Amino acid sequence: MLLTIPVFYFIILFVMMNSVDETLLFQKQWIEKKLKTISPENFISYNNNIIITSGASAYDKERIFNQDIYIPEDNEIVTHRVLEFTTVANGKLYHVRFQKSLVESEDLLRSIIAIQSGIFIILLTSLLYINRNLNRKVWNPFYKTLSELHNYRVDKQSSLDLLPNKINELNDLNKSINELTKHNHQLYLEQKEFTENASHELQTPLAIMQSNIDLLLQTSPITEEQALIIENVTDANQRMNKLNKTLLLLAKIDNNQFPNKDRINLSNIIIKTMSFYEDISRQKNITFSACLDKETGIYADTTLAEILLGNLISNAIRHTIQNGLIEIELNKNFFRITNSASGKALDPQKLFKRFQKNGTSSHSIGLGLEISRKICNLYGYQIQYSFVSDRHCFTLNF
Amino acid sequence: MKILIIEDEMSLSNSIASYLKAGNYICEIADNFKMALNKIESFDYDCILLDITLPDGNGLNVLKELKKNKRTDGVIIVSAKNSIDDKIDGLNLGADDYIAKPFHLSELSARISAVIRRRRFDGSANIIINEITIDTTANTVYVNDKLLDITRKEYDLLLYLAVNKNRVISKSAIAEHISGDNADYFDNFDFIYAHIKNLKKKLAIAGAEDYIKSIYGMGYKFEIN
Repeated sequence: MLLTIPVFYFIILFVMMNSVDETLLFQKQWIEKKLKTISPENFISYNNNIIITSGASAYDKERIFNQDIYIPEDNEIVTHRVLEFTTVANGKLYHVRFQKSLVESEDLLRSIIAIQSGIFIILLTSLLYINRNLNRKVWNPFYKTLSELHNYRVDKQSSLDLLPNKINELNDLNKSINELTKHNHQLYLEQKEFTENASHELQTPLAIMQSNIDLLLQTSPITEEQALIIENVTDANQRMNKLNKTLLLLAKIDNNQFPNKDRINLSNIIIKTMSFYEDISRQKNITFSACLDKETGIYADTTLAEILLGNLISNAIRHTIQNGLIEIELNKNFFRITNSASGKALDPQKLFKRFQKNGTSSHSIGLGLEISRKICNLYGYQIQYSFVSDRHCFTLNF
Repeated sequence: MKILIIEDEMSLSNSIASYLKAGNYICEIADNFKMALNKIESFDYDCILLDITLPDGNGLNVLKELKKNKRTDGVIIVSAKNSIDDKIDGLNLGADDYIAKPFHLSELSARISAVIRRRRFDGSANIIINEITIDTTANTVYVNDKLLDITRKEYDLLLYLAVNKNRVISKSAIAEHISGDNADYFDNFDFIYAHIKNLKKKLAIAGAEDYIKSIYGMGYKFEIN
C-alpha cells in the first residue's frame, strides 16, 4: 500500500516529462518551420527564451535534459526542461536552445502527491476502523463460545447448547462443540452409572461368598490350619465389602442421591461417634479433649454428616500414636480435630485423592478423605489440613 | 418356626437355609416372584426374607400383597441396593427390618430371631438357655433368677451368641454387630476378646456354666449339648 505512493509519483513524473518533452518537440518543429521564412537573427520569441546562436561547428544531436536555472524575478532556482538542437537555415548551421519551466508541473505533482497521501491516510484509518469493528463483530460470538467453554463442567451441565449464529464457520464450531459436550456428558453418565452398577452387581456375589464362609465355619472338624485359612479369606472378604460399599457411596454422592437436608446437631454426632471407638481408644490409651458447642448445627443429610465426622474422627484415632492425644473443637464456624502424629506432615496435594494411603496400614482403603472432600464439596464446606508441632490437624469450615 | 426365603440366587438362599436349619428353623425357598406369591398364598410364615430385585417382579409387591391380606408374617427386606430409598419404602410398607447384602449369616439369624420375638403376642420375649434367661424387652440377663450386672455391649454380645447357639460366629461378624455398621474397627479384634473375657468372668461368678468357646481364634461359639 505504502509502495504505491513512490510508484504513483514516478508514473506521474514520467507522464509529465513525456508531455513536456512532446511540447518541446512540437515547439522545435514550429521553430524549424519558422526559420525557413525568417532569418534566425530576426527570430523573436516570447520571453526571449528561444536562443539561436550561429556558428555551430558540428551538427549536434538533439538533446533534452533537466537544468536548474536561476530566475532573478522570483529569486529562486527552478528546474527547467531544456531542448538543444542544431538546424540549418539559409545554408548555415544554427544552434537552437529553448526551455520550459517545470515549476507548474512540479506544483501539480506536489498537489497530486498531497491528495494521494491524504486519500491514502483516510483510506488507511477507515480501513483500520472498519477492520477493528468487523473484528469485534465477527469475533464476538467466538469469544462468547470460548467463555462458555471455559465455564463448562462435564459433571454439572449436560451439553453446552450454544445458539446458532450468522457466521457459518462459527456456527460449525458451535455445532461441533455442542456435539462434543453432549457426547462427553453421555460418557460421563455412563461411567458414573458403571461404577454404581458394578458395585451393586458385586453385592450379590460378595453376599454368596460371605454366607459360604459363614457356613464353612460351621463344618467340623476344622483343623487349626484350616481355621487360619478361613480367617484370611474372611479378612479379604471384609476388605472387599468395605471397598465396594465405599465406592458405592462415592458414586451416590456423585449422583447427588442425598437430597435430604435436615438440621443436624453436630456435637451429638461427635459424642456418638466417639462412643463407637471407646474400645479402641482405651486400647491405645488415647486422651481425648473436646471443646464442643452444643448448639452447632448444620443442614445436611444425616448419613453424610455422620460419615464426614466419622471419617475424620476414625482417621485421627487410627493415626494417633500409643498414649496419644486427640483434641476436638467445635463451634458455629468450624470443626477442628488434632491428633499427635507418629510421622511427618502429610502431602496436602495428595491427601484428598483416591487410594492415597499413608503408612503401612494395609487395612485402610484410602478413600476416607476423598469421601470427606466430596461431602464438603456437596455442602460448600472447606476442609483444610495443617501440621503444627508434630500434630495433624484437620479443620472443617462451615 | 417357618421361614420363607425369597431370593433368586440359589447359592445364597441355599446357604441361608442351611445355616438357619441348624437353628431349628424350617426353610422354604422361592426363587422368583410368581413362586413367592404362590407360597405366601398357601402358607403362613414366621418370617419372610424378601429380596427386592427378582427376575420377574419387584419384591416390594410381595410385601404389598401381604399387607393387603392383613397378614402378620414378619418381613425382612434383603437388598443388594443399599439405598436409603429402598429401605424407607420397605419399612413404610410395613417390613420389620432391612438388611443389605452382603451380610453375615449370624447377623441375619439374629435379625430373624428379633423379628419373631417382637411378633410374639404372648409377651414371651425371653430367651431361656438352661440357667441363663435373657429378657429382650428389658435388655436384662438373669442367671439362676438373679440379675446379672453387665454392660450394654456385653449384653449385645451375649444375645448375639445365644441366638446363634451351637454355631461358630466369626470375629468380624461380632465386631460388625457390636460396633455398628459405619464404625471402622481397624481390623483389630482385640476389643472383642476383652468383652468376651469380661462376659465369661461375670457369667462364671454368677454361677453359669462356661458355654462360650473360642474356636481357634477365628470366632466364638455358644455351645449347649
